[in-house]
Amino acid sequence: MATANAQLESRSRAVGGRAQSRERLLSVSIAGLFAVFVLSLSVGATGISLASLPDAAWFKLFGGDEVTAERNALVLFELRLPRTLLAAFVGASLAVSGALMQGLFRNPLADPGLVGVSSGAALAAITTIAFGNEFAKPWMDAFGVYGLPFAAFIGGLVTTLTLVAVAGRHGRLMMGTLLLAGIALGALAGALSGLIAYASDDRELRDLTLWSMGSLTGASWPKVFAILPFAALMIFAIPFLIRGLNGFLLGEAEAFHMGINVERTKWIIVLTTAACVGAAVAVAGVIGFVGIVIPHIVRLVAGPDHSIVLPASAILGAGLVLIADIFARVVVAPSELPIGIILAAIGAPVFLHLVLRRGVGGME
Amino acid sequence: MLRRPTSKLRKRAIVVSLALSVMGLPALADGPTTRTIPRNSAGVDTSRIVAIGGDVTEIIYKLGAGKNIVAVDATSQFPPDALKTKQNVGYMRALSSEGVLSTRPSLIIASDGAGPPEVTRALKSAAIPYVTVDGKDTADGLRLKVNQIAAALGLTPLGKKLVSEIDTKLSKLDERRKTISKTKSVLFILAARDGRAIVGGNETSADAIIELAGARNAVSNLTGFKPLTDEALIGASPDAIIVMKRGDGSKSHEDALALPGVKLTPAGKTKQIFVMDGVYLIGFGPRMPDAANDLMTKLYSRDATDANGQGVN
Amino acid sequence: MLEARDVSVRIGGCEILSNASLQLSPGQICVVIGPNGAGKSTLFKVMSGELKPTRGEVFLDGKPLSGMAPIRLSIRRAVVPQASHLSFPFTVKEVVLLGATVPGLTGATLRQEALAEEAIGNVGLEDFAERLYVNLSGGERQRVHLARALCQLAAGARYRDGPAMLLLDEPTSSLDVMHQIQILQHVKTKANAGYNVLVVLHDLNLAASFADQLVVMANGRIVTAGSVTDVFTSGTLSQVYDCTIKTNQTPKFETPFVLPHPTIEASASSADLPYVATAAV
Repeated sequence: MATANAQLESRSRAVGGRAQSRERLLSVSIAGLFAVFVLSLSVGATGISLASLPDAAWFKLFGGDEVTAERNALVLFELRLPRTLLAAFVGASLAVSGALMQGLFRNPLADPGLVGVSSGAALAAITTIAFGNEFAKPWMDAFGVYGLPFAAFIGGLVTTLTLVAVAGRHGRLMMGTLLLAGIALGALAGALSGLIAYASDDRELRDLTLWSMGSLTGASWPKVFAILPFAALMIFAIPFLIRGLNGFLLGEAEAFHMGINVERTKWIIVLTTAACVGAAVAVAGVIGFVGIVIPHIVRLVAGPDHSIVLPASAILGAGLVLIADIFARVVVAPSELPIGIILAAIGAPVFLHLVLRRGVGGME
Repeated sequence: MLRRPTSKLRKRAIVVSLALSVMGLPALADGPTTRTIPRNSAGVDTSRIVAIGGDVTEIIYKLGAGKNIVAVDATSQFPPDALKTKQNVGYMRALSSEGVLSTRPSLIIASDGAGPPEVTRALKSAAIPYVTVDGKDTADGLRLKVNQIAAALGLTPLGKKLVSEIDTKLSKLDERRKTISKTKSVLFILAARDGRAIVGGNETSADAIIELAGARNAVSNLTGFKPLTDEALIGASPDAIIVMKRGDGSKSHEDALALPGVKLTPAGKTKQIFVMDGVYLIGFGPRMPDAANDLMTKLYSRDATDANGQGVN
Repeated sequence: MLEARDVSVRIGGCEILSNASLQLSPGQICVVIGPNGAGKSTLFKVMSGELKPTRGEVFLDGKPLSGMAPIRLSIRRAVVPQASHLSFPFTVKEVVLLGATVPGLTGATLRQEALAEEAIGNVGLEDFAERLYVNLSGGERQRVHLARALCQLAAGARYRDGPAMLLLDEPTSSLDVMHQIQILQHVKTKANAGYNVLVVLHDLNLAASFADQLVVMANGRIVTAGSVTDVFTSGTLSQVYDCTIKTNQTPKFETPFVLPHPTIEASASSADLPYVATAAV
């Protein structure tokens, strides 16, 4: 009895401190993101640090004949900067997409891949990997090194649109149908992927495995510019989605009663998520974990209000992927690890620690 | 050297830097040279080589330039010295641009399978000579690879010598092959785990080496490396089975024998199951003729002894 | 003024609501009663705008509800659902605050918080404000949702061009008798302040005590509607609920009430029943 009371008290204290937790979470995570961003620019296999930045910038702007400056400029501006930006955009997109899906399905365990993006993108990627020299050759010739990312994006989008067409009736999106059709379509895409994998040789299989573990190793400016509009779209959409998602937490009917245009909000969420996850998967392969864990961590610390969950997820998601990518680049340099491995290795203990210390936030 | 007008457009800056990178190549060649640095005929510094691809590394070592290698990829298993003493830039299909650059290479020699494409593109755009080696898993492909690498290293005469050595061995192999009266069918098992065999079908390096060794592939109806069912294994009825040695060395022989179908095949009945090193046998490096010869010996020595009363060397 | 004109709802070939017409009046509590499956909830959903009728239309101040933006509707009416499940760890205050923030009616957070606190006070949950919603009992949760609805209407007050409407679907089903009275009493003060109130109730005595207008439903139809004294009769109720129901009146206020009459074995006499009230017939 006494312990029950004490538990209750400590829980209400924890909850009462939410307003402060929110402010602290936001300021700490923004500062952290900035620090990690700078760190990401300053470390790497070559050992070039930010001290070389002025030289490199000079070379970049005015040219020169100094070999070191040229190399520094290449590493800083063509490798690390796009890679850092890409990691941040991918992390933010995935984390916010996860939060959106969890809010939409009212399920804290919903995954950003729920609307079929990942499976569709994977099928398209696997197709270009396995048939790049056969029937997919014209496509690969047309898009060159961006053939795979572009195909993955299109594959993800087509899958989601198919799903939406199946689950939409008279302009209404049936969430149950969407969920089940998503599972069915995912299984179908998985079967096709498996069939193609079966027909692949070992090198193609190795490529597939690596792709499915995610990596930012191919980061380049075109990729940054490719994901930028989608990440920007998502950041721009956040303020307009907060109210709707908070309403959805109580249920679709309740959201409508509280003045939310339910159907429009659902469409926006599904399509934004599809575009963002599609773009993220296209440029970095399958990166799991971020979409589920980051929104969860935010909720554990600052509560489930989307006015904090969405922006904090964006910042923390970007930060986590950046940290993981720094490890991926440095740990086994000059080689590198797939980022998925690092993300799970860093994220899982942190997550477990939070869950054990704070409980699951009354989720049971 | 070049004084470019200031441009605030970053895109133009990128273009400029790319242009400079390209121009950097001849600039480097024309620049003041230090005599001790080894160079190829184009004047490219070959003192710090990054070798990507097992066959590439093996050929560079064979040409005597192994000491100039600073880094290799994870598939460069032979000579064992390579992965032990050189830096490792990871699996050849998952390279990191900065990782490769961090080894400060003066020359990158990479198999055409190196990737991912964005990384090889970034590396090619850096002011470091990048040589792509392409050659199929055939005798001609091997000659091509040796010639390309020798040229990149400025060692064309040595390359010619190596090619002629290879040719000599190959013609000996041809001679031997003509003495084979009855061609055996061979099943190549890449891996056998949990009772499932991954075998080499048509258009694989395994198929090529089996042919060179004077045998025929028992599963030429398959294409690529594929899993094989027990029944299909029995149906293929190979006269001999070759199993690849696993990373940990030991158990591959037993794994293959444990496959339910194996005992029922002619190979299982006559115990014609051989374990061989994968890199050696299907690496298609300079040791390829030896590997083919070894395989041929394994496959036909007992026959020769049985039939003619004398072994084939 | 909210008015349903001849609305019907057909789902999967089965008409679950037929030709219902209903009009809410300012300052009045309209109570809907009827047996299970009578179509009460369907009528409720149609009135709230959540369900679009297959035939007929609901009008707000003469304009069809279906063409109205949800946000404009939310300024006028709030809904207390029968049950709402929440899978995320919100506190009571945060849930109530949603009533003001989700429609985005008042910008300043402080004002929203003041409204939320006031609404929490109205339902007697002051001590629970910082507790997690998921840890509450069923009755406490119902009160939280009432507070949320009240908060929504309070926040929308400055934008309204007509009386507010409060729609409650069985708001007392999980409450003890004290809280039943407390909640409905509060709803009544809101009605007295000019709110239109629509309540679906299961408890006939509560319905009789608080209704200004009583609507009796059965088999998807409105059987009868009117004042409590006109409608709440033994005959009507017995017919609608398909069992013997006798009404009576409390001595002082003359509010009609009913008591359950279990089917009695022949051997037992009605004198054995512990209810004194039945003897007063």
